[in-house]
Amino acid sequence: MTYKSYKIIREAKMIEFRYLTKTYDRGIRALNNITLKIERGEFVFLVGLSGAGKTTFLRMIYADERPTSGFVYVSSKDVGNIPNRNIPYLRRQIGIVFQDFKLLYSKTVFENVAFALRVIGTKEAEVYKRTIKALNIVELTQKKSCFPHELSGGEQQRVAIARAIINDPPILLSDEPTGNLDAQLTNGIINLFLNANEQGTTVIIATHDLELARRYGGRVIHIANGEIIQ
Amino acid sequence: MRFQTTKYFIKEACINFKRAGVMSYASIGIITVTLFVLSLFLLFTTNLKGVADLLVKRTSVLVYLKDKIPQQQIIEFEKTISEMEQVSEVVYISKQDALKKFKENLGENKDILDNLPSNPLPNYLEVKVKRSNFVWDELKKISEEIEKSELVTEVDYGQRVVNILDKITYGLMIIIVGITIVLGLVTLIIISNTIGLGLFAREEEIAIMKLVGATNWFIRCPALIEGLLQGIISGGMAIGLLWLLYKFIVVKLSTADALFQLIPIKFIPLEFICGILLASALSGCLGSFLSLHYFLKPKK
Ligand SMILES: Nc1ncnc2c1ncn2[C@@H]1O[C@H](COP(=O)(O)OP(=O)(O)OP(=O)(O)O)[C@@H](O)[C@H]1O
Ligand SMILES: [Mg+2]
Repeated sequence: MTYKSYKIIREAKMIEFRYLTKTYDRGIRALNNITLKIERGEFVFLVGLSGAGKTTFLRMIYADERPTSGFVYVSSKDVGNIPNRNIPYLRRQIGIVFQDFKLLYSKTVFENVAFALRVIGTKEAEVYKRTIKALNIVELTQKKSCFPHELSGGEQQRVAIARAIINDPPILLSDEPTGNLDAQLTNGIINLFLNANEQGTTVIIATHDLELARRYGGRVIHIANGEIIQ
Repeated sequence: MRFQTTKYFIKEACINFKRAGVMSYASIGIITVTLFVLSLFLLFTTNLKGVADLLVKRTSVLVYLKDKIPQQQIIEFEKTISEMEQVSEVVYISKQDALKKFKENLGENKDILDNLPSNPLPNYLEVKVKRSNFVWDELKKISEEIEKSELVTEVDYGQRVVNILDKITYGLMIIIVGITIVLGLVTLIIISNTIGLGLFAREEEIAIMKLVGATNWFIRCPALIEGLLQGIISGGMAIGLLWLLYKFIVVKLSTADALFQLIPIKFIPLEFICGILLASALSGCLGSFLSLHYFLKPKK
């Protein structure tokens, strides 16, 4: 019921911000009167300097923060006013690579990636198969029994990526996904996102690296001081 | 819920239990002791009547009969009673015999009875009951059965003593209910504290789980199972300790003086055992539910 009503349909208008403003507790205005649309299957780079509001932009989409004013729609659902109890069902359909990874530090690499499947009650055999496959994609099968603190920054990032893509979500959000990676791995990761995009996944990559955006093409949204720059 | 997920929850609960380490064992230790104290009271109450029975060696019921009952009916009545379980012997004592007995008891003052216009004493039956553990309960049961007959005016089985014992037991029960509530709260607080500490250490992790799409129930279940585990283990250990103590007392008594050898000691009945386990399991669950409340409240 709740799942169905928050089912993200891969429809034309995927994400829409309308006059969206987000002011944090201390009066910091992280997003200012933003209006924009991201269509289904778009591949978007969200580019801006540190503190520009990129992370806040993404957090609005998975309802980690609520708008101070204005609206956020995801698949035509008013996410700004989503009831708390329905938030998990929204998040299960959005793959998120967090800027600080947000791995479960008491769990192994395998368990971290598998977690996204466990919360939706996937069968054990399936969990194993899909987790191994996802780890294979980010080239971490060897380290599946390691704990996050035994990994390098780039390896931790790849665990986060594996967890985000494992459910094959209709939306993929990625916050500085290549910050800790060398050129070759960066290429691999972006290609991964491009592959998902070819299957119809809407991808948003937040980065401060305009070069990266230029190199891979796609739509670029510039953000500065919480505002969109044309 | 899927079996798959349940298995995962149980595994998680065990991991968290182990991770809490000394705290888990300390909390189980304290709860075990509190429950043990409670079960001691229960053991005492259970055996109160048995001990009283030894002190007051009453094993017979006096059944006073109505006047002018045909002899035949009395004989039949006697027979019915003697066929009852636990009854060893029934003796009929007529009005005349009763008066004679009474006079004998009066000794040299027996002349004062000579002036009576008629014999005021009733015919009665003395029903002897087989010795057994908990003879009080037997006496009461038999008396209630006999009292139903229309031939009977009154039954005396030492009601006064039994009533006093019943009152003491009742009073004890009230005390026990009081203690149970207090100890239940203690258990609740201890478990909610232990599990709360564990959750506190995992606050960050819980936030992450929510970000990846875990529902509150998904986070709650392992902690509830953990509380349940702590409760049941404590309850089980308390009952185990009580059993050891019980066995120890029984062995001690059997080698003690003859008088003490007769004290019939019973273990607490099954209902109490189930009650203790159920109460400890429930307060374990409730305890962790309460501590979860803080960690699962929505942002803002
Ligand atoms: N939880 C918060 N409470 C208060 N202010 C916040 C919070 N999160 C972010 N901000 C403020 O909002 C502004 C935008 O922050 P945001 O994290 O969105 O920037 P960003 O573009 O992701 O930066 P970076 O590239 O460094 O990650 C910053 O000025 C920051 O100080
Ligand atoms: Mg950021």
